[in-house]
Amino acid sequence: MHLHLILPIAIVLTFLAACFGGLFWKLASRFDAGRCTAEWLDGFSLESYAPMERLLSKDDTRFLASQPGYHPEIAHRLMAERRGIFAAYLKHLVRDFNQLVGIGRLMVVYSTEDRQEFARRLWRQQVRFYAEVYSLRLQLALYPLGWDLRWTVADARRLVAAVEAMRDQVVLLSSPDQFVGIA
Amino acid sequence: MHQLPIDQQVLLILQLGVLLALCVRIWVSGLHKIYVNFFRYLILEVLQALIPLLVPVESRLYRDLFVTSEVFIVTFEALVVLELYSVILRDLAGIAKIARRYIKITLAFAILVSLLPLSFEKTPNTLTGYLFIFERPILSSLVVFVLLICGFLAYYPVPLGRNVIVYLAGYAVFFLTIATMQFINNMGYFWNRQKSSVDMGITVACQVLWLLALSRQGEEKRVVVGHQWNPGDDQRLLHQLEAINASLLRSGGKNRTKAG
Repeated sequence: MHLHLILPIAIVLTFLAACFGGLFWKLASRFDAGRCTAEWLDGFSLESYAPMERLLSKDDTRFLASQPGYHPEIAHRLMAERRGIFAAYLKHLVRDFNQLVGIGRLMVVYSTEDRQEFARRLWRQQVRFYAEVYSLRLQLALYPLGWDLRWTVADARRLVAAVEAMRDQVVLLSSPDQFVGIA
Repeated sequence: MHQLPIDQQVLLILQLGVLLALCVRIWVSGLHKIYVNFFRYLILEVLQALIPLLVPVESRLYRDLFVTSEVFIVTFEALVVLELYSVILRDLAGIAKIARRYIKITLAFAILVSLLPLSFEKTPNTLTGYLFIFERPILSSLVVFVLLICGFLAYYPVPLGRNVIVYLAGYAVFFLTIATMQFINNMGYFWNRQKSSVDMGITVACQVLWLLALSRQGEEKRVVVGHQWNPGDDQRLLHQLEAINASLLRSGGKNRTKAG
């Protein structure tokens, strides 16, 4: 008998039950059709993310440092505020990316042709995108410990480009008479 | 039947009643034509539930009948899950290949995972012991498989009928419970009475869920929006998809013009 296995069994069971619970909750709310609209797509633009590149640039702090009455505390406060704004932009970018992925998945599921290749690309791009998002968030969190945000700007540029690439892929997928009936 | 403890006698009668009602409901609603293996599985469950009523539980005949029926039941449990998956993905050409590939990988993974705890299980010395040793990995792999199916469905917005959600929820609880009970049994704990009662109780609960929730209307495929099933969503979504497609075609045209 393995009495010592009772606790691991209970842990595995709880974990499985939690997984099932989470997945069923996700299944019941997985798609918000109200948010995936043509209007959203028509109004979608990446230009609004242009300030992301400037937000963490050192130019403004350098300019501040050259001004009379400058104190390092001012630059610290400015950068803290800008990191907050940058994080808000990032959140928006992720939301837009998710929206595009949602549209991509819808098009794959309801397509009349097999879209295996597109589905694969979609998955790969998602993995890469989220990895970069987490890396960016980590960099922002490490800034107070002395992390240089020079690379963060370049990473942000790459993220915006990834969203653009996703949009282009979804555009490429569209074709007349694309969808099958649902019911 | 008189050799069974009183709680199990009650559960057995209850189970038989629920199973018969479920069979009738599935037959009347015409679901037996869609879920053929599920209906056959229910019939087998009815036949197995009849065994303790007709044959003394301690007899060799009971054991042989139980083992034989259990082999068929486990086979049909696996078929039922595969049947559900094929019903869900029917008519969805866009993800047909990726779903097939996913099934292959998932099945292999589920079998591998379910074989891992075998080293903790005792070598059997009875016929039923051997049956449980073979049954537990099959049931565990079904648990993992159902979990991974749910993951796939959570990722892709595949239109689902309410019935599918009910089946999946029932299977998840049912397989998880039975597999755990089997595993505990195979490790050498012989709390047979308690184990059988829990087993029967959960099985009856799942069958009651299916009895109450499965219906012809539940077959209509709908896209779920915000935790509620809305009958108007199908057409609305189709219009939305067409509008999205038109918007993408417009912007694709713009891009091509720019590129040109």
